[in-house]
Amino acid sequence: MDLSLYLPIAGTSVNLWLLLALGAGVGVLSGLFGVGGGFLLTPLLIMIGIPPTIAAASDANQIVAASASGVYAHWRLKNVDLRMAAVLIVGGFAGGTAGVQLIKVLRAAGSADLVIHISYVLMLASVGGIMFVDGFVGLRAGTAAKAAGRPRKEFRITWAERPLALVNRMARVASWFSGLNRALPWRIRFETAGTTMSVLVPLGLGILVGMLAAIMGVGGGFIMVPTMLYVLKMPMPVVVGTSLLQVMFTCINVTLLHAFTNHTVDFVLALMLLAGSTLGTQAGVRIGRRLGAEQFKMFLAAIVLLVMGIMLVELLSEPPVLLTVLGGRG
Amino acid sequence: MTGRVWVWLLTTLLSAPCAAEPSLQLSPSRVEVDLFFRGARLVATGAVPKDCRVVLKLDGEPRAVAYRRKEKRGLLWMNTGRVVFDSLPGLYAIAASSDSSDVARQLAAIGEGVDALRQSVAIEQSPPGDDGFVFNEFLRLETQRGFYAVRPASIALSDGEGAFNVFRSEFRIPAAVRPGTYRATLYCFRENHPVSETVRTFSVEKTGLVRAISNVAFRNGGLYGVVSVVAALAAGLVVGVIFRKL
Repeated sequence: MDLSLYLPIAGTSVNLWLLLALGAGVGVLSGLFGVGGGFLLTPLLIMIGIPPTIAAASDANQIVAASASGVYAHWRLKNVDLRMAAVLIVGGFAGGTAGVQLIKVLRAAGSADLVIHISYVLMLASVGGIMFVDGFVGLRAGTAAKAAGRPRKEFRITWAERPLALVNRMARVASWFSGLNRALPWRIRFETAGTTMSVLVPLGLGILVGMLAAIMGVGGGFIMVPTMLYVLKMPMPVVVGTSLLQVMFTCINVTLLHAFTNHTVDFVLALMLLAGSTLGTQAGVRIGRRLGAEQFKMFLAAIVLLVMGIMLVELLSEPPVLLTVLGGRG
Repeated sequence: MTGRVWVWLLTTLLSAPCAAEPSLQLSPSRVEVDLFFRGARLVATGAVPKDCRVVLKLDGEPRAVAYRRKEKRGLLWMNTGRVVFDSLPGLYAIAASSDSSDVARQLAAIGEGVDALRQSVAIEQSPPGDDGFVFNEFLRLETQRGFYAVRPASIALSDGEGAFNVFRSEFRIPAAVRPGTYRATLYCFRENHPVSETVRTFSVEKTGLVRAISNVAFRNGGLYGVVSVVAALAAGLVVGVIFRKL
């Protein structure tokens, strides 16, 4: 059945089934990986004709529902490190505020668009690339070790030396990082995450991610998840649960700000998206329990790289029309 | 900007039809934007003297519109500037009974058509750029979105009562139309010279739930934001609880 809905704030009409499907797809990612999915959904909404500012704000509103649904499921599985989430949230708010100011300065200098696009592509490429290589190496090591009945360590990848070197370099950065971590004061035990570290580490990371997220106009889950996984060395399920809680708070803040100052939250749009995404999230949480950590990394990496590829093509190919609607004035 | 608005208002008010003049009716005269609105079909019907050709124009009140301009920088296409057109109608659709070369002459005679818009609009670009080029891009974009159209030879005149021909013409109003007042103008031509002008207006209005939601969003943003967040949290938790039972 061809059913369309008119979105009161976006001021245009969109196919209802398309919205539900988009919401469900992003919800699965959310439950699986602990990302909000804004980095994926906002560009898709813009593609189907929703004005960019309204797409971003309504998406944040939708993520509140999807992440609440996911937090609830992970909470029951005891996958949420409250203490870690609290520190990340505080850092994220501080970083977000700083990022918004930075964007203002860049806008005034006229180079905001270039900085946003390039940082987006670079960020996606490095996060996706590192996760892909890591997942790939892990997967190969796992299967080969099983086949030969030998311990994992002795396995060698001959034709993948170069990506392996990258992972090694990452490991070196991580060990430099843990050295730094030991030298820092205010060490705290994060029980659920199973690590002890200086409170400054997650705080600093929260600030960094918050800043990047504000610059790129997304929640930042897709940066936060690899960071917790690789740098903070937290176990995967706890990463997902904790990240979702942080994502939820970030998006509550963003929704309120947009609704109050810009009037860009389209509740009908958000409602249709969240109808799909809350269900998708539950499915994602369940899929995540059955999936091995390495498959999981590969899957997320593939999605991140796909988004990067689309953005890159968009940057490199000539658009059909060289003007885009900005809106009325006066 | 305000100059053009006044001209628009004056021509709207002063061109009241006289007896035995051409007639024009619009259906509907009020386009309601409800939750299931997906654009509208506007039907214009009317009668004109037998020896007349007609041009029918739909347009909205002219206003300033802003766009982003894309350019290639090195290898990358990106937004590099801002373009503001000081005064252009949001909707501009022309249907005519003559073929394109005659329509061009008729439009030139009444100072209408996209060429006339191009002449009258002031374009402000930052950083500066080619005005002709951005105007053409504007036309391409708005034509694609369904807001600008010029359709020669699209009105068929058929025999009506007495000395009149009758016609019926359909316009498609896109779903993204801005609420407001629009007008339809019927111009009659004899040998490409304008002899009469008949104006009717129609409105596009948000109604029901659509109107209620936009009113709250714009008048009480704080409350709207809190309700949106609470509803989202509740929806997420309810689904979570339901799934626990499954």
